[in-house]
Amino acid sequence: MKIAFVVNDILTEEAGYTTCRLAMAAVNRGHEVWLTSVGDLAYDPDDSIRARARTVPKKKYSTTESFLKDLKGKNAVSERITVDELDVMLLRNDPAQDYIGRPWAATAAIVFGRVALRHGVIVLNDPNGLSKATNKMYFQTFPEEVRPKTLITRDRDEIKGFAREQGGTIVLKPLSGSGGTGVFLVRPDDIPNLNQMIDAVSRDGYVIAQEYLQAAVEGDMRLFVMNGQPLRYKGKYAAFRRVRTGGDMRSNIHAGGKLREAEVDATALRVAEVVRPKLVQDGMFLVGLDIVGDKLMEINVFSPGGLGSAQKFEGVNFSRSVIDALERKVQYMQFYRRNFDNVELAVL
Amino acid sequence: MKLAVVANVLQSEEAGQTTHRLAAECARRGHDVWVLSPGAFTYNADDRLLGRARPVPAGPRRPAASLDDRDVKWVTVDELDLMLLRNNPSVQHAWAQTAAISFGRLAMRRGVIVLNDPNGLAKAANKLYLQTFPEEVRPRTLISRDDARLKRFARDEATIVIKPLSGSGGQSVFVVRPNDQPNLDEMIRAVSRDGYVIAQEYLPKAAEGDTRLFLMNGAPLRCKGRYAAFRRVRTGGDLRSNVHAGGRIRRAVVDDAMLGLAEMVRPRLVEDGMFLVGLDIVGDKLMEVNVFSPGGLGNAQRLEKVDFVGAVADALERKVEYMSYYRRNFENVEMATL
Repeated sequence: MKIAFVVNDILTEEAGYTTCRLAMAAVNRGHEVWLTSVGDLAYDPDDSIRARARTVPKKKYSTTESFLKDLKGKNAVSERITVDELDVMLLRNDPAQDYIGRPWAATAAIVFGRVALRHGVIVLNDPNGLSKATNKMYFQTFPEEVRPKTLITRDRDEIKGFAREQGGTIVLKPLSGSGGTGVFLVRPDDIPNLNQMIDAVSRDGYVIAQEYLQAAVEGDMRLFVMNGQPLRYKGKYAAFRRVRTGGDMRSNIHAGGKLREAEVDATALRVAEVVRPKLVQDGMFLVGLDIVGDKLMEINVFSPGGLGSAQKFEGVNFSRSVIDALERKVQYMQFYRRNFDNVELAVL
Repeated sequence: MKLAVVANVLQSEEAGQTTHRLAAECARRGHDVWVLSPGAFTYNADDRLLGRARPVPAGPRRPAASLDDRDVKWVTVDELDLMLLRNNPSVQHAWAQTAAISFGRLAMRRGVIVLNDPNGLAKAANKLYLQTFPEEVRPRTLISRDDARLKRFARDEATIVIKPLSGSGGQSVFVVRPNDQPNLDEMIRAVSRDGYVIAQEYLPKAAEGDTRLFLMNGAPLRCKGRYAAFRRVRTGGDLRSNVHAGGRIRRAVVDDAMLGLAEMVRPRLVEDGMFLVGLDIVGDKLMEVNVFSPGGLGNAQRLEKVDFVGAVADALERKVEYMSYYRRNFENVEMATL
């Protein structure tokens, strides 16, 4: 199959990224694999979508480091590809990284992806689904029982009232953005600083104020969901645990958490079951759930990362099962001669 | 009915006046009408959607400036019958761009009729939306960030227009003629600073200006045999026919070519739940589809001497009535153009 990965910028890709791992796995399977940066797409006068893209010269790679070195270096094969001729376009850019510096880039993959899907390319995750998820309001469309209590507003008094109701401990974060920037933990003795915290977050728009879950002290679990179901391969779940270290409440890796093996219990599986219908409705092929206890902290639909960590702890190659799933979709699409709804195919 | 209009403070005069006319007409009819900005929503901890809104007074139409901030109240959005999204996403902060659409989606799930349909609006957030309409109604177009390709297109087409993929209102719109080649680099740079560049075939007829034609519920808005339309005539050398770029307003002749074009765009507009839309037409080609806050209904009213605003208010009342028959259990995207 012919597959392209859309990323923020090829040159900033890292060997540890899940995208890089998936691309390498596809190359090793013998597929034609391209990577393109979100600014290198084009709508041509002949109504085709094209892209300046790169691929690697060799047929087999054993490490993502050597794969990436070839992709970024002078050995790379650079070409202008016709996106419409692809079988699959995987949107793997993270818009949150572009909101501030290049706001135009945050939506580019979605808008070009929409046109590509009209031209018969399988686009994952479904671009219309992704456009509903461009900010954390998406989270509020999932059932109440799996979410922490949440207030979203720009009104300072409302937030203060909510902090009081919650006994003084809440989490504040911006409605747009990700990766643990602008996230504050407000404790009862932080009340004198509350105004400044609210100002810092509301400068970038709406503020999410959320009930603080006590279980979050121990960290959270990242569970991958593929085709609407927990990703399982050879009896193992694609998941890992992020343990908080030090005083920082953000358990994101780049905020200094440590990784451990996860125990995917019935409670976590139930959360996945509750979110499934909505993920299917929105054509979300590959998703990362961040779970604390029986609650969902975040749903990562843009470029969920950490598949390599899950591989390391579970000892199975989950990338391979993702490529299997893509191959199956391409075959389905061939049966139907490119005449099948993308949003449905996304989770088949 | 209970109605809220989402509008930004800084609207272009044309769009702002149309928004205000609609709000005032609904208030005059005795409806409960509120105005709020895209930053004034609250998703409450009890899962209710609230908004800090100003009431639009009933009685004779008053200018927007006379609305008093002291009247601001919390309104429960879930209890509205209808919410009109009339904010223009291109003139505000990046975060506010998507706020109205996101909150609109939630309101819609709670049974409020939200117009235009927020999922449709999300698809139309930049000018690539135009490319989803049939090829024969669009000028030839290249969208890219690649200088060499944009230059080649300029050579192939002789005269082109370049503009940013995001944004509206005639900012950074350049017409590139064959003798502008020395400036082309700078022009491309000025536009690509804000992202992707649209390069479009220049239609010679555009020299005479364009026609704004309103479509409602997917069909040309017509009242007492008159179409809601007007012509913008270019004045001086400026190619942008937008009024704030100095165009003049004249009566439009809505001919068969335009109606044929409206017919071709209809299926997509219906699919996307676009209740009220402004088409900008040059000859038999579509220059732009304005779905966020199409303005100039007052111009059409003045030139055609019929009450188009009243016709829009009628359509809103009808939708609310439909929705009550179905006890708020009807797809918004379908209701939008019924």
